[in-house]
Amino acid sequence: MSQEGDQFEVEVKVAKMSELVKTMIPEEADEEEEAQEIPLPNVKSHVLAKVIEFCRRYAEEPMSEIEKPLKSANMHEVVQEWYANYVDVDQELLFELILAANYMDIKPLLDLTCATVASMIKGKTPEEIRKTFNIVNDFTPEEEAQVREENKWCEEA
Amino acid sequence: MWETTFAGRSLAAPMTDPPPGERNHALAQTLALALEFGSLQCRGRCRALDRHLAKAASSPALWRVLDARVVYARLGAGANAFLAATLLPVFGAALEEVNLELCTRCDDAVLDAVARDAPHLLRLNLNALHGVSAGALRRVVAACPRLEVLQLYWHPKLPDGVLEVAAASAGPRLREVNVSGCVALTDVGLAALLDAAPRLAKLNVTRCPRLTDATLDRVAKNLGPSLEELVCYADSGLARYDALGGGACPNLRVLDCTGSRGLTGAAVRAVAETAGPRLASLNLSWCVAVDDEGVLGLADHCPNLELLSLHGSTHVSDAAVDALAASPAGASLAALDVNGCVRVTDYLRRDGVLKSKFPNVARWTLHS
Repeated sequence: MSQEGDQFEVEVKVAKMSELVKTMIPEEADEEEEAQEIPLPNVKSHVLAKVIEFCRRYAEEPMSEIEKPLKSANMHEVVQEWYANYVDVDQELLFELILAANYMDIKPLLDLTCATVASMIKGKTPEEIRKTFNIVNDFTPEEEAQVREENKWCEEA
Repeated sequence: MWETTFAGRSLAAPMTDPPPGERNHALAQTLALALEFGSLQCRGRCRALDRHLAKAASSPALWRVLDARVVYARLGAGANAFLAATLLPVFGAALEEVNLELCTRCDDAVLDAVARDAPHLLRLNLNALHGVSAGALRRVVAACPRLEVLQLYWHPKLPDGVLEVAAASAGPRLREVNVSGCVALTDVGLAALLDAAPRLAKLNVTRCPRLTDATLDRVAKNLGPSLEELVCYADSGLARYDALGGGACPNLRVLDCTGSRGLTGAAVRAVAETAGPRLASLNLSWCVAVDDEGVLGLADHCPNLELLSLHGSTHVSDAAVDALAASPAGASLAALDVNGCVRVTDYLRRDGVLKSKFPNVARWTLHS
C-alpha cells in the first residue's frame, strides 16, 4: 500500500525483491496464501507503480551488472534496452525512484537509477553539472578559488 | 544504505521550493549514492559544485580507491606535488587501494606521502615505478601493515630487503605478491616473504633468474594448500616443481613453468596428482625435458584443465596428445599450444585433426 493508500497486488516472488518487504512476509509464504497488506508510507503511488514495473521485468529478465566506474554516458550501452528505456524519465521521477529503491532496499533498481544519475554527470564540467541539476553555487569566491586549484587534476583534458 | 531524511517528499518540486541550500543538501545525498558509479575525476568535479556536494563527494566511502594514473595523465610531473601535498593528506586515511602502475614520473615524495597518510591500504600497485628509490619502496611497504596485494613488477634493482620489510610488516595478511622482472631478487628475499606469509595464494616471480629450487621447496612447504597461482615464467633455473606435488599444494589452479630447462615429465605428473581437478592452467612452453609421462599425468588427474601449452616440448609425442584428447581434459581444454612439438606428427597437425580431438579449443597459439 502506497503513501496515498492505493493498493497494488504483486506476486510474492516479485515483492520479495525488496529486502524491506521480504522482512514483512513469512519465509514460507507462497502465491496460494491469502493476500497480505504491506504499508509503504514513504512511497507515492506513481513511484510504487514504477518500482513494481521494474521488479516484474527483473523477475523475467535480470538486468546485467553495471560496471563501476560507468563506461559510457549512454545507458543504452550500459544495460539492456528495456532497462535503458525504463530510466528515460524526468529528474523528479528519477530521484524519487532512487529514494524508493533505497528505502525498499532493492539493489538492482538502486544501481540502475544511481548509474543513470552518474551518466548525467559523466564528462561534464562543474558548471554544466550545476546547470543539469539546477544546483546553486554557495561557495565564497575564496572557497571557489581554492576548490578550483584542488580540482585542476580532474578537469577534462 | 543511508537513512533518508526526506522520505515521502518530492525532490523535483524543489527547483524553487524548498530553499536552494536545503535542496542542495537533499540532492547531495542522492548524488553521493550515484557517485559510486562515477570515475575519480567525476567525484573530484562534484567537490566543486557547492558546499553540500563538496561534503557528499568527499565521503570516505567514495575514496577507497585511488587510481593515480589519471592524475599523472592530467598533471604530468605536477602530479607529484599535488598527490603528496593535497590529495593524499585529505583522502589517504580512507584509501584501501592505490594504483601507481607505470607512473614513471612518480617520485619518493609520493611514496612517502602514501606511507604517511594511507596506513589502511589493502592493495598497493607499484609496478614499474622507475623514478623511486629502494629506500622509498621500503618505507611505504613498512607503513602498510594491512596489505593483502603487493605489486612490484619490473623493479630490476629491487633488493631482497624490500621483501624482507614487506614480510615483517604485512606478512600474515599478504594474499598476492608480484615481483615479476625484479631480476636482482634472490632466495633470501623470497625466504623472508614465504616464511612470514603463509596465506599467500598468488605469487609471480617471472624473470627472477637468481632464484633456485630452494625457493620452490619453500613455496611448497610454507604455502601448501594456500597456493593457487604460481608464475615462474622465464626462470630457467627452477626445476624441482615436484615439490608442489606429493600432497603439498592441492589447490593449485595456475602454474607457469615456461622455459624451465630441468622440469621433467615425472615432476609434472606429481603436480597433476596433487592438484588434480583444481588445475586449470599449465604453461610448459620450452620446458624441453618434459616428456609423455607428464602429459599422461595430466590426462589421468586433471579433468578441468582449460589451458595447456606444450610449445616447443621436444619429447612429447602423439601418444600423449591422443591420451589427453581421450581424457576429460580433451573436452575441458579451451587453449592448447603444441607448436614446435617435433614428435607430434603431421597426422595430428593435419587440418581439422587436432580440432576434432579437442572440440572446445579456441586458441591454438599461446606464443608467437
